[in-house]
Amino acid sequence: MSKRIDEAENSGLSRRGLLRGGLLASVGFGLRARAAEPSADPPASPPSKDPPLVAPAQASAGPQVSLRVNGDAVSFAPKEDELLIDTLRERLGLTGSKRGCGHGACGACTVLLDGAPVVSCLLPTETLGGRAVRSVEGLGAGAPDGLHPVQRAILAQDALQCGFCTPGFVASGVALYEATRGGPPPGVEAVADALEGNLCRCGAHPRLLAAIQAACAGAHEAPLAAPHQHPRVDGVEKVRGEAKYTVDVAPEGLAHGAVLRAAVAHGRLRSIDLSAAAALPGVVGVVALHKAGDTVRYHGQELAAVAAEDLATARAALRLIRVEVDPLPAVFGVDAALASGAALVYADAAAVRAEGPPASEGPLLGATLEGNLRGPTSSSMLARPRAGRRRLAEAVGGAGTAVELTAESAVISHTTMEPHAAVARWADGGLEVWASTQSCVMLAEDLAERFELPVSAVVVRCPYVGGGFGGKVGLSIEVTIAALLAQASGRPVRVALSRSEELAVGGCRPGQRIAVGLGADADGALAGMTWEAQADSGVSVGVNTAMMARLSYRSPFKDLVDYDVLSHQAPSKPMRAPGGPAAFFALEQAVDALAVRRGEDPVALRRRWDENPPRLRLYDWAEGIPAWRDRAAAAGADKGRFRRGIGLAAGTWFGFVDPSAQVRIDAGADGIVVSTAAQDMGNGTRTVLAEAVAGVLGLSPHAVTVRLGDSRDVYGPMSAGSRTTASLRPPAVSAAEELVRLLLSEAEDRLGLRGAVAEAGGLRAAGRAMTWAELLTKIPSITVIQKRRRDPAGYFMPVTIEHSLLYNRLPGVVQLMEVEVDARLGRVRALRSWTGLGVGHIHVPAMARTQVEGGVVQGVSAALYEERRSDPRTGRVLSDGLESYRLAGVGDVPEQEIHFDPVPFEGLIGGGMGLSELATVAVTPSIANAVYHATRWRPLAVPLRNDRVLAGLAAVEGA
Amino acid sequence: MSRVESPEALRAALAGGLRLRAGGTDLMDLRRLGLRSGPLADPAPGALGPDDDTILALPTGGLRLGAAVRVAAIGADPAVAARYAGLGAAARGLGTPQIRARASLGGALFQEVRCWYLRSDGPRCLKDGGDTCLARGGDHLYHVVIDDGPCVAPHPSTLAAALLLWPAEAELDGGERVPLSELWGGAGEPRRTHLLPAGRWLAAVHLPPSAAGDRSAYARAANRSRSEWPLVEAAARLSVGPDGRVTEARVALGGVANRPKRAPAVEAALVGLPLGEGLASAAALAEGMASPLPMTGYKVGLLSGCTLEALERAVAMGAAPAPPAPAVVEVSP
Repeated sequence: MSKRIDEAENSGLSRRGLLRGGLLASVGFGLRARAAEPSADPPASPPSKDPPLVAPAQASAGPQVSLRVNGDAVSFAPKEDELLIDTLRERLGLTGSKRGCGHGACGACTVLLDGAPVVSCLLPTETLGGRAVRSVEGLGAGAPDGLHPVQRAILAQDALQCGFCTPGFVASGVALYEATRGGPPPGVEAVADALEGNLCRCGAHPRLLAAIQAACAGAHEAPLAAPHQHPRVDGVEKVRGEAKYTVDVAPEGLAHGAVLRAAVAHGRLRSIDLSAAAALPGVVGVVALHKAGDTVRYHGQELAAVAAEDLATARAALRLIRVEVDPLPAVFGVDAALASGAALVYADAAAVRAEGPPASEGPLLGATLEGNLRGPTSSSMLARPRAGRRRLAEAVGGAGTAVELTAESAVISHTTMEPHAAVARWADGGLEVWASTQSCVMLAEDLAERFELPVSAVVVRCPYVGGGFGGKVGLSIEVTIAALLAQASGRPVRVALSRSEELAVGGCRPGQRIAVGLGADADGALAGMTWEAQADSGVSVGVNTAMMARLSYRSPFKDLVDYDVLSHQAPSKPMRAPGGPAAFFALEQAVDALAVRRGEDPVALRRRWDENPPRLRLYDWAEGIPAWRDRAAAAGADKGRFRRGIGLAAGTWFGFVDPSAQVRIDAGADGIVVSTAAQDMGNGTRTVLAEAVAGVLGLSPHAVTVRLGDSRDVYGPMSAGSRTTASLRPPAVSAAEELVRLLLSEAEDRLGLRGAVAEAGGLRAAGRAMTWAELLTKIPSITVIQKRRRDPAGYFMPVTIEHSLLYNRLPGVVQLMEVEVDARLGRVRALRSWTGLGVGHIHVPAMARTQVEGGVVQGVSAALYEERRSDPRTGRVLSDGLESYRLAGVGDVPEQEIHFDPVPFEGLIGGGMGLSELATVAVTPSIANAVYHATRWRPLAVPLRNDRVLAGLAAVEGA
Repeated sequence: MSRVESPEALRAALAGGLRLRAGGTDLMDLRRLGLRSGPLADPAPGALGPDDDTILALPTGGLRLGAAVRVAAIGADPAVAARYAGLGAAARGLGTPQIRARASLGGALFQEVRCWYLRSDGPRCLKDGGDTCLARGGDHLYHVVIDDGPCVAPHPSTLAAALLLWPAEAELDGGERVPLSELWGGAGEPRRTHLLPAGRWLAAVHLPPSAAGDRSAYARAANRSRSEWPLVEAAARLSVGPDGRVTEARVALGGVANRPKRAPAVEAALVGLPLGEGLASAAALAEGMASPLPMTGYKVGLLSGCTLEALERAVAMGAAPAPPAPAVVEVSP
């Protein structure tokens, strides 16, 4: 999505200006000024090999404890309430075990204690005397390739994306592997039982099931031979827990930051007194993030921050900060916000412009503000809205058919397994930051602007990112806080959100209430469409759903409007296909209902209305699926306890590309290194680049090194808007082609190899073969930098807005889902899923499939389980842990089939466009349509909690 | 912490203000949240009492479950599976493998409620020294459907509910035996989730012999397939006479009230019926127990649905074998 239109009509807003507005004053007390040494390499915690067996003296409360960790005897005096996860990560430098939730629900910290899987985040170290612990770092010990069969299986199945949860899955998988050795291999249900304590946010669920099952069946006993053949080039680091994420980065002298958050949802700040916190021993820096007179607009808003020698001290210091706030009335949710006399979130449109954070990545259109209702923003620019409303009314009253329904989607959280996190340090007037970000270049630019530095003085690094999904784009506030605390303390400072903070304020998809009207004339042609969307967007603005209604099913007769409904809750952020899932949840149910009302096959109706070439081909594919073809003709045919149905939904999304993207290749005697200032948040960007370059050179992708996550490298795109592969693969291919040309010419010029021609892995000249590696030992190193070219097909708009161009072609998705509804206990299960995508050429099928499967898993999770819940009186988020905020578990997702329409897009370099967002937009409506087919109950609100299902079934049965 | 090696040392430690720590899977979270603090006593094997970490077949034909036995061990125990199947299924159905591997029987019974008002950073609720239940007037979608007041957080222990299927006894320190069902708090003691006196502890749980022909099962209603606190959970035990009729029925419900509950009306309706008959109409009587909160009306249907589920599972499974001959002692690891 385009980040910004600089001169957007009557908005005059820049995203950066908004971010600065959200963080008004900053005051710093330098308590311990000390220049940090600049370093080119990420200073991480001590490496996992040869951990210090006796840690340096630390504050300790109890007696010595001796245990074995990965076979090594370890002896030390633990601190009070020291948990095994901290012993491993902080004391022993074994950072493979991750703190995903801190309360035993996500399993990312799972280790084996005397062979049994346990969560190290709830395990007091002082009770472990004489026990043997194995962490992910030790599980492959002894094998020639250093990998356990479970790790090999995860690599072979590509059962991972960001990799942050992977060490925990490895540990649980190894526990099952060891428990079932010698017996019959476990079935899928037993594997799901064994993995029920581990959560994956990227959605590798089906592959994890398959991988652990295969490992337990003995399919991965053989050590991997070099070079590796598994699909993901950075997989080994992830399955071994060696990949260093921002939360694992620990420069020498690291201090730990904690954030004081507002305990009221609305109020005027009278004063903040930091002096007592600053005086607490162990505190090294304090900053106020707001000043007297500022308005607090949501519970959890950042007020001040503290850095200290350890996190416990920093948190203790927060309690010493005196904050005086004059509370003001507050409103929560759409209904309360729109009630007459509701407390206002912003006094006027000017206040929105000055302080309202953007909820989406799209251009922020100007809009009026009336009370807490901001809008309408119209997406009907080229359409005839009044005619749409009139024609819909005619369809209702006349010979046509019409459907009107209102569909509601809950606020859901990104809740990436790696929380928002940053490590910042200042040196020589420059700022060095590690951040869990989707946009390292943009973040460096934003930090430069925020701290009034030249961009060259800012470095942002993010070698590994534990998930993003849209919530980690741009200058996220924890990065600013880390930089301010580092400035105040003169120390490197890490700020990482707790899971509670992540779920409360770390970012969410806005809730939606969409009223859609859809009319067909007597011939079944689309007569008109009305669309009024109200976004439950908290304090943020600019949500758009109507664009999807405009792009689907062409007709000029559409009246489409979006509103933001402001209330005193945390701002939403763009989340994987912002606006898309809610839009298609409404639209595709309306289409399905209209087909039912007309007594027509829902695909036949869509074929008539749809002009999207890839989707028209996908309808052919869908009609060939036996489960769809042979479905019950009438909805609700199944009257038993378990009712099965199948549903179909279509969808579309945008195709973005960043025409500034560059790729650099350095080829020399030491190897071939591909680099760009982009990041891999789990979607496989490293692998895409390795495949592209290795493909041209005729090498294994594992034979080239890809370096990502350093803002100083050649310009790379943000990982948002499904643009990364489309932007980076073409320049990677052309750089590799240029490299081959230069290599051949060097071979001729320097080695006299006349007529040298390239072949797989090297060249041939005068009957002699030479590998590229050998050639590179004989010639000077070569550096090639290539920039992406513009696509011959042109774009929707020819101007580049913040590095983004929008393709003038639309991809398509057709999603089918089979569900089972338990009429007794009200549970919906997604059984089988078929996803057909028309995105043109697929560059790396293995990565694409994993991405699509993850999009389906996230769609299932949102449709069935996820919901942010808040206290209705205070606006405090209650679902602030991974027990109360429910993500789909490994046993909750359908079997999946993925189909890629093989026809490439003509005129696009590479022939294809991104798919990550497209893969998730049609999942929720496909489930809803399947539930209707199973029960005759049309679910108009997600998630499909048991209470909603039971009430819905009672309503149709009572009717 | 202080590791204590004997019951005497533990008594002294608790008298000195230390708090007993079992597996720590709840206590460490409560300490993280600031809901518990102070020095801890970690009992060594035997410090809770003899055989406190084993499952023993009793000479009477019953079973003695040491308080320190891991939940996973209860779920995997062949004697439990054969004769107390509902308990075994409950032990396998709660938590996650990681929690079950670490959590003890005693800790699972005496854990704290999971209410999101108690366990998130906000004003103090009834359980935390406040003067009002915040969930009652707030978001209580996942709270009680049998409102015995004043706290509306459901009792958290699946094992406490399942153990209501038998007249189980708690063996306290020093060997004193009290009915386990008398240890649950409720309306009279809203701040307490259990009534174990300060300074005392659980040494073991005693299960009476299971009769030949007994069958028991466990079921839970939840949104996800696994690893979720139940919306409603039910356990059922049916004793069947030689004529194939139910001679005794017990139905226990969890997730529904501030203590685990039996469903006497359901039990009474089943007695005398041929095994497997009249289950739905009997289960429907569970709904008569309901006094739902504004947001928990949906649980009324789940009371009967989940009860029926447990009854059907109990009927479907084979009867427990006769108890072992007296004096044969099995020891589980």
